[in-house]
Amino acid sequence: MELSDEALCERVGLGDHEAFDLLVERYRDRAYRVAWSIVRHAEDARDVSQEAFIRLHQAAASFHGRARFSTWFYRMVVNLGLDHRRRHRWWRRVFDATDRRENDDRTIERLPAPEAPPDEDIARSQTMSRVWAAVERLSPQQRAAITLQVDGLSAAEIATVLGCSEATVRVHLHRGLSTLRKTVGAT
Amino acid sequence: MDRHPDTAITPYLAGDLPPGERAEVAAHLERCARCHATATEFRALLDELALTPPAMGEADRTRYAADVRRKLLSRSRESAAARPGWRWRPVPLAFSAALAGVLVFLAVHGLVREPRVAEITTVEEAVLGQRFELVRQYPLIENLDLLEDLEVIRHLDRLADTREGSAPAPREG
Repeated sequence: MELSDEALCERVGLGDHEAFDLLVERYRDRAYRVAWSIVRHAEDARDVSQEAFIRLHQAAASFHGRARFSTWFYRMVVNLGLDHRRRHRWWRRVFDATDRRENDDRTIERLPAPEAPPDEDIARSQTMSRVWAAVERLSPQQRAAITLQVDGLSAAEIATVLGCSEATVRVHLHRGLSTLRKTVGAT
Repeated sequence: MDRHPDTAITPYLAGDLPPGERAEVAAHLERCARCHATATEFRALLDELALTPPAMGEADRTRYAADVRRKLLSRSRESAAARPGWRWRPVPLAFSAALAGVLVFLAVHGLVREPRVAEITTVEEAVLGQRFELVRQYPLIENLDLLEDLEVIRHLDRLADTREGSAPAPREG
């Protein structure tokens, strides 16, 4: 019988390496997508998601099943993504005019929408689906909410991950999808 | 439900609404062409997003788990490498403990006390020793602050003679 994520996490806390490998396999792609929705850079998203697994390994013993594993883990990914953006802001100011307007904020809720993606991201997005290319140009809040929605999280869980209310999540989803509807429909 | 349930459409499509709200939204979508079109297009967008999510390159996916294990091992080694530093830490710790011990010793044995207290005690003893005969007038001197009234004490015998009407005794020394 396949073990639940919560059961696997408990085993990781007891030092079970196979349980950890299994969680990495299960959440590798999802963690990458959520990280990408925050940092919008493939290599950074990979590094952030890997860091989240390392934190998971270190904190598994304290999980105690207080919440769904996915909610707990995604929150870790989001926080690491936000930390990554803050640490690399000085670099972005010099090489990327897109992020010059962004503030040093604590939550994803206060990150402003980007003006336009950098050239390297435009090239990469051409290989992605047109819809995800449009998602890349949404605000960070809408990107994260839609990514988590696609991954199957409920509005309440998304609210926990993003640190906002459920009503706010619904607004992000509606506005994000409305923008996608206009953008994708116009192309 | 009179108003358009805009922000409830996505949760409705995800099956995320409580039964009562779900029934209201469903009923509204049946009679409102605008919201029905919105729900249909949102459904198509979500389906396409689910089919073609952003993904790592195949090479990155293949070595992903190995990279995580390598980073985890590296962190563990860094933590273990930090522990031998404790070999050097006892030196400053011992120094700090010794310094703390010295301070405690000084505090306990009074070297941090007000030096004036010791001096006052010594002076009191010296004056009383010189004026031992003043003990006879103890009821008077016991109420005196010794240093402040040292002048009085110095001339106490003279004051006593004055009261009795005799001439003051000459100063000694």
